[in-house]
Amino acid sequence: MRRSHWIVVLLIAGSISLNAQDTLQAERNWSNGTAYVLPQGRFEIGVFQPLRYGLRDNLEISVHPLWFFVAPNVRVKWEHGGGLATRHSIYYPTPFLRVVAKKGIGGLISPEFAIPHMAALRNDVIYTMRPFEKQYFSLMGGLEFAVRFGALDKRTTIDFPWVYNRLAVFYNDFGIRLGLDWYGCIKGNWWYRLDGELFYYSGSAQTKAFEHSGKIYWRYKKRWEISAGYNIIYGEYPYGNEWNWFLPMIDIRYAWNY
Amino acid sequence: MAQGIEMRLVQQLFIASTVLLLFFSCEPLATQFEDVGGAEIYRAAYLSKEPDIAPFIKVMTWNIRFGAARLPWFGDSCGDRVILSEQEVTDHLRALADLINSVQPDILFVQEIDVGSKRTAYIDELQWLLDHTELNYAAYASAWKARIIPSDGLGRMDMGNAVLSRFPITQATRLQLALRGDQDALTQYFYLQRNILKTKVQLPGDEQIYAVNTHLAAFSTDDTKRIQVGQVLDELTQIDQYGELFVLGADFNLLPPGSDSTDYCLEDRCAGESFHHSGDNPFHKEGSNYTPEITWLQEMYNRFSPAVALNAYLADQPRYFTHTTQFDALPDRKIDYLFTNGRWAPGSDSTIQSGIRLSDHAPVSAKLEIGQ
Repeated sequence: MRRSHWIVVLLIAGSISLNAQDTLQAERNWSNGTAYVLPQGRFEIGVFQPLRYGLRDNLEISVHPLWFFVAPNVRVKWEHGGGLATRHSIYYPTPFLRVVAKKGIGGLISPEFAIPHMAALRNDVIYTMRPFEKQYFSLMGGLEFAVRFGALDKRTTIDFPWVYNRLAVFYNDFGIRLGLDWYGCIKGNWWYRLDGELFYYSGSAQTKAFEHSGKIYWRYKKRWEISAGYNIIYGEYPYGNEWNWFLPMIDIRYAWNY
Repeated sequence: MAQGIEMRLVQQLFIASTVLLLFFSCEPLATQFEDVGGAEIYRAAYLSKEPDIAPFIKVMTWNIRFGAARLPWFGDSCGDRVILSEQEVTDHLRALADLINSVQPDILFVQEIDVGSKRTAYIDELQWLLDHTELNYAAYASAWKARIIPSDGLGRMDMGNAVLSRFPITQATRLQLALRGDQDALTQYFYLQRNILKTKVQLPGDEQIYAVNTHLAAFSTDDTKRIQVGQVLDELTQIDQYGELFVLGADFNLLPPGSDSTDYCLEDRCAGESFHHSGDNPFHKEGSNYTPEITWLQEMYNRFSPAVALNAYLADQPRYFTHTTQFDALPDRKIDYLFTNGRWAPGSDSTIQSGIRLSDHAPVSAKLEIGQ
């Protein structure tokens, strides 16, 4: 092969790589279950999703703004390169649980029980690969611990799907989470996401759960995103094992650059 | 090419699964019942020997207060307890079973039995009682069923009426009673939906009897209970007109006509509550003023035979009292009944007031003649 041919091959290869980088950069504009983080300076917020911010090109920080005042929480996602990221979060549910441990309407926990100060720490590892163009497959593994500053009666559990799993760590020694996520483009502005997550909590209130969701997204001008989908939850609860469907799950996200 | 096929497959699978899921809807938070529906049938883990044919069967009715015994529960006794421990519930159930075994009813009507409620440690109390008494079969009709009651920490709830029998139950129907007319829609959605549990029991010797159980509204301040009494009367009259024998066990939450005391607002008031004074709102405590309702059971007495005859009751009312709302008091009113269109064995009725230590109701039992 002559030198000029090599130059052409290198230029084409460079162009593909550059396009892939551009595409990837564009696809990072919305946070999903991948190891990728939002670009630096980009915010996004959803009705049912947290406020996320790209602090640096490899660091994203998120909080649930509405929940923040009753259950302070923060999560950091740190992209390490090579499709690998770690996610670290802490939340303090005590104020929220004390608010709902009340007499009358809105009482989800009996006021006869005291809710101690407690917090949960969670650390996840996420690995994302791209088997096809605009298709992302992610694996997630996580470990969760809780610290309690007082006794917590087991009768304070909120025995309802989704909620029970997320508070289970406070009634156990530790929790393990394993997840799979498939996210990709259907066509143009239409995207989809399928995910599944296993929960296992070990301790005196040992429990297992599985959650699966499927969503379709429609995006408009890099700023708006509407999603609709479903959630299927299997859980082991104090009253027995149960499957639940939640349909439709609708959400709107808005993003902007600062 | 292969990549395109795989992509299409992924897309088609996703669309197909989404369409499929659209046919499913979320389970409602609180169960809303049909006017007529089936009841759940239970069977003891080990069947006890059925008694031999006798000229009578013993029946008993008891509101067991979901196994809370005399604990100061928040909803009915000025207490602050909501969620019982498993130990508390099983201790109470054991005491209930002991009393039931000492009376040895052939048919037992139970009101306020939990079969999977958070407040009673999710124990299926009906199965528990079947497995710890000589009763073999049961039918259950839920009156309050919700995945979560978002109030006072009650959580998941399944409470209702049950008929327990030594003999097989061949039919069981749940009949919806009128809902309270004095509640807003949201409260009513999560609130109790009272019922009539109508069962058919196969007695030895090819005889059958309808065993009917009901529990009427406790706190309504309008004419809900009058409507519900009418529904019960209609059902019993229909059985009677078909020439069938029935026995009814009921917590009517109503006093017998002619009762001396009809207003229990002061007896039932909790600390800090005030009634009967100008400016008190409400003027009467919910569920404690029976004065406007005092004649609503008259028609029941006119048409059918009570285990405790009205003249016997009026002659010595305290002897027949079955209920109190105060967790440390003796019964001070009668609201629990047995009725039949058949004949009671004379002098066989018993209001077992010692049972009040295990519930806020005392059981009533009597012997019913069969083979008439």
